[in-house]
Parts: sequence; C-alpha cells; structure tokens
Amino acid sequence: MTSLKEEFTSIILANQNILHKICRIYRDTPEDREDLFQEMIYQLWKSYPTYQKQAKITTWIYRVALNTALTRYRKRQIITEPIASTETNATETPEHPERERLYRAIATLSEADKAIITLYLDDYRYEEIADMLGISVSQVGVKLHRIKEKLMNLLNPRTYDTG
Amino acid sequence: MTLDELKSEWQQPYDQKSNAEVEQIISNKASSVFFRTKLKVIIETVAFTALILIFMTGLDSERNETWVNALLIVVVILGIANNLWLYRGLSATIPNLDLRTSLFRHKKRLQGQIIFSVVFSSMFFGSVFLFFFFRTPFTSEKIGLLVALLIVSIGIRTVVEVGRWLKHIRQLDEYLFQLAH
Repeated sequence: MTSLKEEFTSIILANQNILHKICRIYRDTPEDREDLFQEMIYQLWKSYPTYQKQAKITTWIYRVALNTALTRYRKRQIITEPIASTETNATETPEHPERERLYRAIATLSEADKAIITLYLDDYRYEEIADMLGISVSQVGVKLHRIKEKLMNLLNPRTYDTG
Repeated sequence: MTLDELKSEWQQPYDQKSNAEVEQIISNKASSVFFRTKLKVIIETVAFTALILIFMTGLDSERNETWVNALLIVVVILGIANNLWLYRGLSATIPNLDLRTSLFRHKKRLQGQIIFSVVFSSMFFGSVFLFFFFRTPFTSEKIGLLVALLIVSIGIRTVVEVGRWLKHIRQLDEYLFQLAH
C-alpha cells in the first residue's frame, strides 16, 4: 500500500500542472480551486487501482480531472472581464501576463469548449480529444476552428476586428 | 500572436504542491468538501436517531398501533440510509469514462436522488402525522399546527435540496448540449 501511495504521489507531483490548469479554468475563487484540486486528487487516488497502464498517464489524469470538475455543481458562473487590455490586475500573478490574458479569453468560452482548448494547448491530437470527450473527430475540428477564431479575436482585437 | 505561440507559455509550471500536501489529501484529512458532507451526514444521523428515541420513549408510543410505530422506524432508517447513500455518491470514484458518458450517468444518478428524496419526505411526513393522529383527538387547529411543523421541518428541506439537484441537472444538460453542438 505504501509503495502504491508513493508511486501515485510521484505521478501527481510530476503531472500536477494539469490539475492546476483545470482548477484555474473551471473555478472562480482560490477557495473553490483548492476544493476542486483536493477532490480531483482524491478521485484520482481512488481510481488509481483501475488505471490501465497501457493508456497515457496524462490522458487518465485529464479524464478523471475533467469528469470531476464538470460533474460537480457550480454555484457561480464565471463573470467575464474585458480582456482586450494587456494590463494585469495587481492582485494577479504578474509573472505570466500572456498566460493570464489567455485565461481571461478562455473564461468567455462554454464549459465544453474550455475542455477542448485545454487539451489542444497541451498538444493532444484531435482523435485523443474526441475520445476523451465522447464526441466525433469532425466535431472536434469544427469546434476548435470556432474556438481559435474567437480566442484570436479576443487576444488580437485590432488584427481581427476588420469590421 | 497565435495560439500555438501561447502553447509554451501555457505549459510553463504552476505553483507546485508538496509531497506532504498530496499525501494529506489522499488520506482524506485535508478535503473540506468531504469533511463538510461527512459532518452533515453525522449531524442528520444523530438527529434522526434522537428523533426516533424521543418518539418511542417520551411520546407514549405504546398507545399507538404497532404498524404506525413500525412505519415511523422504517422511514427513519430509510432517511439515515439515504444520507449514507448521498455521502457515498460524493465519495464514489469518478469513472474513467469519456466526459459525455460521465455527465449523462451523473444526471441519471441525480434524477434517482430526486425521486428517492421526494418519496422519503412524503413517507416521513405521513408517518409522523399518523403517529400523532392515531392517539390524540385532533382539532382542526392542532392538525394545522402539526402540518405546519412538518412543512417547516421536512418540507422546506426537501424543496431546497430538490431545487439544488434540479439546478444541477439543468447545468449537466447544458454541458451535454454544448458538447453535442
């Protein structure tokens, strides 16, 4: 049991970026993000014995993390803020202003689109995204095209706003 | 700037949790979600048990028909079982399924919870009513008072709970719709 725990902990530590991203995208406040983070780790731990080793570990983490984030009830919906400005709020991390802008742009998407773009940005292939979300590959293609256009329009308003 | 240019920024490391923090979560000691739910289950189980003890020992239950007392006990046991079932639902493993199937299954589970909760509340309402009705000559004022008390104690709780589950189902339906379109 101890070795299983150690093995699992090292996997989580090596891949915790995935969980942080999901928390950042699907929860609005630091408290809610912390709650979700804990629940995702707990769910991963419980389902670890059934994890099929032939699947990529990151794919398994993404599956359980997305399922946890989206099946739980959310009281609040994200309040979208204007993202055109590159100025960052003083309370937000100034280390990654571009990433912060990207998060704000992603916050304007639907919950399903957020999952698609998250997987795309982490270099998943269309087939893998389709498999994880339970939709067709062509749907992924169509949706991604739409999402990319929307995000680029938000991130580069002058270039895209051709009127 | 393109999205591909933002990929490297996106993949930069985030604030990292320590080994000890992860182990604490695995032990289920740090999770406030589970703690809150566990606390709710414990409080309600104690309350149900206290309720049945008061009814059976302090309210002259021997003057009632046996089946009326038995019905109340069965309903209270059902209430405790329902709470444990809800807790199990929260702590049950999220299956390693695709998102669409997972959302759909969760929706079905919530629909089952709603049906159970409504049936349980109606039975509880009815059995408490019968418990008093069978041995006390009721006036219409007393009946009104009893019904009001039951509505406040069990009816409001059920309405709030079912309302929250219905909102949750609507949320899941919305996600399923978004995935399909």
